[in-house]
Amino acid sequence: MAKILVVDDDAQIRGLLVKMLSVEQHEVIEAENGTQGCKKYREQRPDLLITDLVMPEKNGIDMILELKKEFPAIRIVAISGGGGITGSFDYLPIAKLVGALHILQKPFSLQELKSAVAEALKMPETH
Amino acid sequence: MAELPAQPLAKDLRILVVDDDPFVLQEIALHLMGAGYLVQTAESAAQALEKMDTFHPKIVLTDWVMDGMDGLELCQVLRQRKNGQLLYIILLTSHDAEDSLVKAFESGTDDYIPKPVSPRILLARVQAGARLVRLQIEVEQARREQAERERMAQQIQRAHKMQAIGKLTGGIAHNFNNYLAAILGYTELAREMFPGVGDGQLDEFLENIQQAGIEARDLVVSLRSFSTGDSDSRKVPLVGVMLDDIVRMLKPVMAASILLKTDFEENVPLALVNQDQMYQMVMSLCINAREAIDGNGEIYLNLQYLRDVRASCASCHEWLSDDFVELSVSDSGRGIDAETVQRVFDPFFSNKEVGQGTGLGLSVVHGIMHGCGGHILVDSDIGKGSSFRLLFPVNPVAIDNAETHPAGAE
Repeated sequence: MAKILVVDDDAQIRGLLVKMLSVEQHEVIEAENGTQGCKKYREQRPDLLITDLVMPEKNGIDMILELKKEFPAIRIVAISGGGGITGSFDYLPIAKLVGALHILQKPFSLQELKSAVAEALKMPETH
Repeated sequence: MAELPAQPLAKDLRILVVDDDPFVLQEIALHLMGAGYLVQTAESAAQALEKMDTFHPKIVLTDWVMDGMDGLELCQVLRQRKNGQLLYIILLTSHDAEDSLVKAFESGTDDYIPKPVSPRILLARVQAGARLVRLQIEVEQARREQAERERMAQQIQRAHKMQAIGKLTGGIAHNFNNYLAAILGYTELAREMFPGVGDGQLDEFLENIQQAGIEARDLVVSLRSFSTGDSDSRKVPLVGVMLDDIVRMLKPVMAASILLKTDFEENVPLALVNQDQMYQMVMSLCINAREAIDGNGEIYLNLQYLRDVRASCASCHEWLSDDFVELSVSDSGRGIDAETVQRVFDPFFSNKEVGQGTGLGLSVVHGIMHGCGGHILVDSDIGKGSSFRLLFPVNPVAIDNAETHPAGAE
């Protein structure tokens, strides 16, 4: 049981993540973009942040960089469809480089999400 | 550079002289050689025709009256040969009556020299012919240069097309993965949360949706390989042992009637590849080869070091001039015509019937090869077979994972 913040601009995916995580008895908070994500993280201090990378307003990488500065021990799982909207640039390896504990390629299975979340939550708060 | 009129021209111009009188033949040959022309002689029309293929003259001087085939007949035969219209033919003749001369020109001669031959007339007329021949060569050269320029422009255009398709597929892949995440995720949730609804029928339907979704996901993975070449992957040295493994895994996929023959050179220089990608590429190429030989015959896999490759990449069209480690997959199948080779790397190009393949095989090979800095060559002859040659860049030093991932930093 953990408090998890889910950030994705796609309501369908957000809903899916909420449902999947609720099945696992987690408490889930939602945000639509990086700006909202940063705000909710500061307010609610969840145990884990699950975020999409390609989003309007503020993208996932910028949000990770910003939060990582404030909360060096933040636990992050990054998910992405891979490839940018306008090209073939891949953000997932970059998310890993800037501090995501796990990266998940869309589409992911329930099992993949479960184990990524479980492993991320196992990480000590100061790593 | 100022042009010198006669000399340099004469030197590279080949003249074949045909006469059944050895004395006349030698005299003419000597005069022409004295003026700097390259000369060969023939004592009959038959001999002349043999020398055409070895000597490749630009000008033919032939006697009219000869045993066997005469000069006019020779003229007609020469005109009908490949490039025969480009020859400059001069007839040596003592028939200078109007009718005879008209007949000679109608047979295809360009000029005539009256017999007995005056050396000054001979050289003057040959020089006039040489002038025309030189103009013709210039025209031909200009035409070839123009064709070459057009070919280059086409190549650049095709390279741009491949790039554009790559960008497009990257964007499509991103959006599709989002849709698929929703389709597959909700389906999985539904199966997990509501098992046994409708006597298990609902679960069966959902399973079908899931299966289709998984196939769509695999298709997108292939598309992405085309657009990115997948740079985030561990690399291993390309060596025969690894290829042996891949071939072992491939064997069950190939029919028993197909023999996979391998020849992997040992100690090739270090080239780094991703093993999964190698498997995917070798499998795509072998499946294509299997189609090309109609499921029956031999497929050759060859690993070797190639020095100083000079060729244009078959898919990105870049001009290459470098050393490569080459893995080729060859078959003795039906072959691909040059025009089709230009299209085989396009995504969704397929000559299989609809439903038999995704048509992504070679576009994935294109993506992977260019993602690792490599290139592809294709040799193909209709009816003789094809060879797809993957060129991997040689790595001077293996400096791969040493400093790129600051594990545990912070």
